[in-house]
Amino acid sequence: MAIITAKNTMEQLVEILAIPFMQRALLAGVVVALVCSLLGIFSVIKRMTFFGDAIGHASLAGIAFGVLVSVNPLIPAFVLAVILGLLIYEINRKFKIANDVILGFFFSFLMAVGVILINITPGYQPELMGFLFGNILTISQEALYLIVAVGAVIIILTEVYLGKLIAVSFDEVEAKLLGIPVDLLNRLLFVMLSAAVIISIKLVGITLVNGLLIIPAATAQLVSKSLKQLFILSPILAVIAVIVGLLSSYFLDIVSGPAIVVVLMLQWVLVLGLKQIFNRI
Amino acid sequence: MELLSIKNLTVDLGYPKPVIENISFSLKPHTISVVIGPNGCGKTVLFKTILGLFPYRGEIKFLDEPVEKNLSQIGYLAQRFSFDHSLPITAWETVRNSLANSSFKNWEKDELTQKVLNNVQSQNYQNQKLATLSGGQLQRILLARSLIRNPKLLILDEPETGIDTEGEYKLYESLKQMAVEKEVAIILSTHEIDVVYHFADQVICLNRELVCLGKPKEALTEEAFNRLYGHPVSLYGHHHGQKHHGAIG
Repeated sequence: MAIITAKNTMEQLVEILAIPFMQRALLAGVVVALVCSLLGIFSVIKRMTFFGDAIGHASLAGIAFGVLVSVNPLIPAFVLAVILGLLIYEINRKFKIANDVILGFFFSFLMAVGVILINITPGYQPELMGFLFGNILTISQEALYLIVAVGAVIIILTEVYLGKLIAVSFDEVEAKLLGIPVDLLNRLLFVMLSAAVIISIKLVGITLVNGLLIIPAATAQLVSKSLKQLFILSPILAVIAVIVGLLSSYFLDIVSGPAIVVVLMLQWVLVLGLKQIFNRI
Repeated sequence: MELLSIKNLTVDLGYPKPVIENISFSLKPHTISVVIGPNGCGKTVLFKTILGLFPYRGEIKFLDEPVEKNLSQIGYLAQRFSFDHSLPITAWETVRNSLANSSFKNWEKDELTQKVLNNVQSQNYQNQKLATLSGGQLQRILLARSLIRNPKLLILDEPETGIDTEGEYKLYESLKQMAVEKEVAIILSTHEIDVVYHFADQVICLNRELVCLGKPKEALTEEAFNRLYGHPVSLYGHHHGQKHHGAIG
C-alpha cells in the first residue's frame, strides 16, 4: 500500500513538473529564495529586519499606479522601490534619523497612496490579490526572465563584493579604514534589497516578502557556528522552503505566498526545537 | 620625524562650546602617547576626528599628507564595540575580514590572520563565535583586527575595557614591545594613571583644551591635575608603593 502511494505521489510530482507554469514558478522560486536568503543576512547584520516589510508594503503605490495607467505594475513598483531604498539611506545618513523610523514613515505613507490609487482606479482589480499574497499563475515567461536576470545580477554582485559587504554591514568605521567605499556599497546593498523585494512579489506578495528575507537567516543563525555556515545554510533552507511551499500550494490548492511562509516558519520551529533537545542531551 | 601632526585643531559639533578647542601635538614613530582627561573631555572625539568621522578646523597631517589620504594606515580599537550577539561570526572571521579590501590571495590572508592571532595569543579561541568571548578576549580579537594591516598609527580608545588587571598589564607590555620593534606610533586613552607613568613616552592632557603635554613626570604637575579634574587628584598606590598609581576619571 505504501509503495503504491509513493508511486502515485512520484507520478503526480512528475506530472506537476511537466506543467509550464509550475516549471516557471519553481525556477523563479529558487532564484528568489537564493537572492532573498543571501540579502536577508545583511538585513540581520545591519539590524534592519523591517526593511523588506516596509519596501514591500510601500511598493503597493507603484503597483497601484501601474494598474491605474495600464503598464506592467512591477515596473513602477521596481522604480519606486529602488528610489525609496536610496532615499532611506540618504535620509538616515544626512539627518541621522534611525532607519526603522524612516521605514515606518514611508511604509504607512506609500501604502496609503497605494490604497488611494486603487480607490480611484475604475472597476474590480482581481490581480491585486496576487500582488498582496503571491500567485504563481501570474509568473509569465516575461516575468521569469525579469526575475532570473535581476536575481543573477544580485547573486553575482553579492558574491563579488561579499567580504566588503560584510565589512560595511558589520562595522562601518573599520570598513572606512580598510579603504572600502562605504557609502557606495551601502547604496548598492539598499538597491539590491529593494530589487529583491520586487522580484519576490509574484511569488509571496508584498505582505509576506519579508518572511523570505528574514526567516531563513534567522533559522540558519540558530545552528551556524560561523558566518560561512550561515551563508551556506540560509540559502539551502530558503530553497527547500520555496520548493515545498510551492508544491504544497499546488496540492492543497492554497495561495503560494502563505504556503511558503508557513514552511519557513515550520523550519524555524523545527530547528529551534531540535537545538533545545540537543542542548539538553 | 613626525608620523602624525595636529595643529590648531578645533572640533565644533554644534554644542554651545567646541568639544575640542585649538589643540596641537605630534606623534613620533616608536612611541606611545597617552591621552588623559575627565569623562567628556573630548578623547573619543579627538580619535574619531583623526579617523575623519567629524568635521574639524585646523590641520591633521599623517605621513606628511592630509590624514584622509592615508586612513588605511591607521588601526583603530573603539571604546565600545556593539554587534548583534546572535550573529555567528567567529573571531577568525572577524580578523580575516579586515583584509576584505586587500589584494592578498586567500592563502596569504589565512596566513596573515593566523600570524596576528598568534601574536595576540588568541589562537585558542579563534574559532569561537565573537559573542561567546569574554571582554578581554574580545578586546584582543579587536586589537588583532586593527593590527593585521600593519598600521603606522594605532589608535586605542580605552583598550583596557573588559580586561582584568593582569591582562591589562600584559596588553600594555605587548604594545610597548610593538612600539619598540615596529615603525608605529601608538596613541591611546585611559583612566589608569599607572599606565601613563609606566608606558607613555608622551602624555596629552585634554579637557576641551590642551592642559599639558610632554613626558609624564614633567607634564603631570599638581596644577595640570587641577586644571584637568577641577580639584587636586588623590592617587593611591596599589603596587610598587608609588604615590601616583591609581585610577582617575
